[in-house]
Amino acid sequence: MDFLDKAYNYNFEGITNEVYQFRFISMGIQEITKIVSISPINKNLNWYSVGFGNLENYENTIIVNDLAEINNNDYDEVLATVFMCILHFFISNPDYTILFFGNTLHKHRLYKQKISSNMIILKQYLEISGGRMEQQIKIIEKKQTITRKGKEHERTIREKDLTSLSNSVEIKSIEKYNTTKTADYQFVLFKLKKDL
Amino acid sequence: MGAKQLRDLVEIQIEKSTNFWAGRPKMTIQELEAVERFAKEKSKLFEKVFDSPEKIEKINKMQNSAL
Repeated sequence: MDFLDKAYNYNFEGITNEVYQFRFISMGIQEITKIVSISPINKNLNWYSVGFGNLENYENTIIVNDLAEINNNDYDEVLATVFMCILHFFISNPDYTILFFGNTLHKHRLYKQKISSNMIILKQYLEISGGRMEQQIKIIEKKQTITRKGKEHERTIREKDLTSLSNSVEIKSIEKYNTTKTADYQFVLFKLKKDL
Repeated sequence: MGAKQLRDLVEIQIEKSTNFWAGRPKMTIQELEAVERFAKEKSKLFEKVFDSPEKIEKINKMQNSAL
């Protein structure tokens, strides 16, 4: 089965204050409502950032949790859905750029692995680049309790603290995505292929 | 050819999704607002990268040469 065929049925919820919103249900071990957001970072260059996470009710407040480490056994399906949402966005915004990064070291590595292993399919539609920053991104360690097979486990999440970056933060390089150099990439850029 | 393939891919997905989501509750205003807050926070993280015209120009050049 083609990677993108694995996508869940997403619903485009609309655009509110320039934020494109999509919703889908992850149907792995349990059903989890997830959202994908695409929002502007810089309008001069038409750069947008993609985010996704679980829609949760936390102490009577609705939040989007992108730090949940629940392994719902459907990483491929979730990422294929995120890519379908990105392609959906590109249909009406063909000249825009999407910036993609994982907010924890584990997720960032995993996403790059998935991009690399599905390059042939993704490159049918997308120009993919990898980028580095001048500054090192500080990592914060957070403890999280998860339940697996009915037992509680404590795990450490290594979250990227982008808010700690100084005011002089700069992009060092952007290059064509090279599957042998993905460890260097601190973010990934997607653009619709020019000939589409 | 590629453009048609992309449009077909998205249209098939939209058709499947329309059937799947028919009759399911819509997102509430609180949920939509929560997504908006999340998205804006996410975007803010990279705003500093573009805080001067020189940086924007440099990024634009780097990106174009990577394509």
